[in-house]
Amino acid sequence: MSEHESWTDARLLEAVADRDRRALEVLYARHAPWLVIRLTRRCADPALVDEAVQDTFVAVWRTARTWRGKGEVAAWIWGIGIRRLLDQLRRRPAVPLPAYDQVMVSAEEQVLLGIEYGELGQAMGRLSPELRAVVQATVLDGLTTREAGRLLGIPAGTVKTRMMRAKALLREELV
Amino acid sequence: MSTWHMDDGLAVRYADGELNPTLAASVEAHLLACDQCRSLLAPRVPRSRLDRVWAEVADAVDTPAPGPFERLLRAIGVHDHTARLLGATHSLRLPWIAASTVALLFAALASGETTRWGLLSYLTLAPILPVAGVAVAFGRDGDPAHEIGLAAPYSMFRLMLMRAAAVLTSSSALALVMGLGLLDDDWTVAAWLLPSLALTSLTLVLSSRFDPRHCGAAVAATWLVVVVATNLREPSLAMFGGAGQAGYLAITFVSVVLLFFRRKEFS
Repeated sequence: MSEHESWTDARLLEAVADRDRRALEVLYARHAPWLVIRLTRRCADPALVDEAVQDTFVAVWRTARTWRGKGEVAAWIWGIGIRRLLDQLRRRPAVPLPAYDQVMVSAEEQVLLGIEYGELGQAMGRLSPELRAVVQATVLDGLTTREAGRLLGIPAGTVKTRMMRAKALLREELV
Repeated sequence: MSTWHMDDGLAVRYADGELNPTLAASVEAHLLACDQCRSLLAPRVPRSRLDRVWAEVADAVDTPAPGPFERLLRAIGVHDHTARLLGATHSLRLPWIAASTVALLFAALASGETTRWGLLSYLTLAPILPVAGVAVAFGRDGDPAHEIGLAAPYSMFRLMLMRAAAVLTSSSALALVMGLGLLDDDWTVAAWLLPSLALTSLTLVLSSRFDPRHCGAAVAATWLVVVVATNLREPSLAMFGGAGQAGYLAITFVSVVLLFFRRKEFS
């Protein structure tokens, strides 16, 4: 065990920028597990997820310098991770498409579950799976319209119109 | 920092993909800001899987990044290991190529003068560049991968030929571009080609017995002496005439044959 374990993410990332390999290892131990799980919710193929996670940490090693030192390191890593997953999906288009719908439960369950949680939860729960996937990809995953389209296998224009529809529905529900 | 945190049950359900999208979305937003909850997820991914991916990451991180020349070779379809061996050659590195370019550029500019000295210096210099390049590409001091090369199950002869070919190609391309760009005489643009082939192959043959650097220096010096000797009174292109070119062709041919018979000397 080394002192690295007690460092903050930001300090580790600075060390990585100075070519500290041990710092990268600690960063990997901290961030690889949740990244694997979160990416698995977007793509059901574990081989692709592993490739994406691998590419992500190689990219962290190469571009640690470009981190501006603001915000969460985890959010920065996620930004890299989801885009590396997109690269993987683009390279192998034959693989059955992303599993946003995988995590979707049936419509009735949606409604039942939706009641349990707060207003926004309910409102989100009432959106159709297609609209919700778009909200998730753009708002939560921080993808651009085009990237979201690639992930979901739909044209960018469709992402835009679905996003507008989802916003309108949520506004109706919440106001 | 929020006071909302995941408990173990929630972490397990999230990791197994059993949460409804809305709750999962909350979890994911929270995870970005909370290392405590992130650490709850660590046991949910098999250790062996994480280790395997880490091994790949470590591999990629420890591999030196290929230089521009190596990437170019790979882009045009050269095998990775061949590209690495060629890329390790000093005379294929950017500083060397840049120096050659400058030297040739000055010579080519000089040939714009009214006398023929300029053209002569261009034609003299162009064949020396590959000789010098080949001379520093081999041997204990010139080759950073020398010891690796000795130990590798790879024919040294083949490696040598490959590097010589690469050096010859790059310096010839350079001289050709310069010639076409800056000189207008049509035949002189290529008059250095056979001399450079002859001198390079001669250097290679001699290298089978002596230190490549000495061979390169000796060949280049001989070439310079002969050129100067034939031009003592006035600039003449006698060295590059028809008879001269036939001679270079002969030297090239003999050298290549000798090289073939002496190929064992290189391993």
